[in-house]
Amino acid sequence: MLEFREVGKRFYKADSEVLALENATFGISEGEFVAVVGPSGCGKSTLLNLAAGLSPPSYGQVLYRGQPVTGINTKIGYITQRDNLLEWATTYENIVLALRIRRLPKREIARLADQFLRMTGLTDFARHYPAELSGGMRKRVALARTLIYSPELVMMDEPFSALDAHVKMLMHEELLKIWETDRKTILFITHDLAEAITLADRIVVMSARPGRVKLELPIDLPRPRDPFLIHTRPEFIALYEQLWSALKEDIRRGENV
Amino acid sequence: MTEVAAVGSRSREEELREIRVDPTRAAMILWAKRILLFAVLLGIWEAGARWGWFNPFFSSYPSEIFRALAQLARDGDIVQHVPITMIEAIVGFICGTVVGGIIGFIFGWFQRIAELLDPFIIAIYSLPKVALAPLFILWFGIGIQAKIILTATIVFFLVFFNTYAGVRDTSRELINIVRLMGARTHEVLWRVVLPSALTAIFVGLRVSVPYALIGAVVGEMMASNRGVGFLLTRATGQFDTAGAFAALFILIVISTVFNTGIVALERYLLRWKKVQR
Ligand SMILES: Nc1ncnc2c1ncn2[C@@H]1O[C@H](COP(=O)(O)OP(=O)(O)OP(=O)(O)O)[C@@H](O)[C@H]1O
Ligand SMILES: [Mg+2]
Repeated sequence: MLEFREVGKRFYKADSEVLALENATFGISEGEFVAVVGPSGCGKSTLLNLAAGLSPPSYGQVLYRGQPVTGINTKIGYITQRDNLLEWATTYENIVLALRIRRLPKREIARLADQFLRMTGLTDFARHYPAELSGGMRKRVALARTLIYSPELVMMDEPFSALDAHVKMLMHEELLKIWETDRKTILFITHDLAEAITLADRIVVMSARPGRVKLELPIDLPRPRDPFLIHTRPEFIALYEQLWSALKEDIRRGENV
Repeated sequence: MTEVAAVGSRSREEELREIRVDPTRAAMILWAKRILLFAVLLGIWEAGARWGWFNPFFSSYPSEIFRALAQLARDGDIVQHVPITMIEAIVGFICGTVVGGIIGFIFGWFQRIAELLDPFIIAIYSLPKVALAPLFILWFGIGIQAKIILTATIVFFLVFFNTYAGVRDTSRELINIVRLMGARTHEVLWRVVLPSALTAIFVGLRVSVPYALIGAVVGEMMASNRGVGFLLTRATGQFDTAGAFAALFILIVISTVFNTGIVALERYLLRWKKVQR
């Protein structure tokens, strides 16, 4: 469904040049849940921006359903690392933004909004403005406003990083529930290895900058998965160790830079 | 059991009442202090002029200024001249805001136009706008059109620059995210760029209020037989300092009324900003 082929991305700033991505190659097929992990600054967000068509790759190809991505890719729902909420709109208005753009009937909008407000635990904050929400609540608004219009591919850039461990697991549970019923395709970026294992069908491990695909690891834990208990399974621990050994040298290296 | 809870909550409530300062009461106390300060200053002015600390010919007395105001009201000068100045200022303000806002928006959105015209805009901007007054009077006569156009010109630049900056500073990423949701350009402008720029636009509007009056009053002082600016020149022409102060007082009142209106509008439209208390 989405394919990166030997993709590279350079950024220029005045006279210096940053190579963010180098020969990144991997793909996601329809209905798959893929998590990408990698050290900070290795180009994970850059990868998503390329897929969304927000900027072109310096070389290589980004294909969406076999076609090169040339401009804004409206098939994709994108939950960015910064929440990018409309500060002047209430929680409710933020959540229904895409539905209003799509001119859905009012009643349908209200119904969906209700459902997603409840799911994200924001019902009591529907009339609050983003400035009045906590960091975790803002993330949940960002999540709800994207999932609510069910784009065929959802990209999430560290959506739960601001949440505490328990709320995070609740959100994992909700996300898995949604995903297991309608099998959207999800590309999920995280720093949290346990989160990646809990959620994904496959994990792509990237190297330190310039980002390259270092390892692709299928996660064949059975579904439905229970985010609260899955950590205790021996397979989980084995996978965790495997991922960590692939990542640790790069993370150390990243710190020294 | 329930009784105990009730008693407990009542005493807690009382505790809170002691800690929390009633906001309306705090505001009233603040206003009382301000009025007191104002009264003291007026008293010093009055006493100083009467007891010869300074020359009342130049400084006048508060009581005399009040008498001059009453005289202006009785002669019908206030009803005749105040609306003229207000109309000039308001119409000029609205015209300048609308045109400045639209052009600022266009320039902010189409960066290339702004790039092309940048030096010209800066050149015109650096011109003191009141220097255009004689020319406008020559072109549009001594009626209210010349003053409206002068006011509009001054307000135009203030609103234009702030709108331009506000539109240009809208987060690219946010625009892109809303585009990804399927928004067309007009929706992006309406739902993202305009609200995002509104903060900056209101900075321009607030600064514009006193300038709108400058346009009107300067125009009237140069050539007119109507308006508060005319009252001011008439009074000083007759060495009537009390009359001049009365005219200034009227201007302060007009300006305050305008400002209150703008601030109320801003409070409403920018209500999403975190309340700072
Ligand atoms: N618009 C840009 N202009 C210049 N450099 C950029 C830009 N965007 C990203 N970079 C650089 O590219 C590299 C990769 O950035 P990216 O945001 O993709 O990292 P990341 O893997 O998402 O990191 P993190 O996990 O911390 O979010 C970084 O070194 C960053 O400085
Ligand atoms: Mg990132």
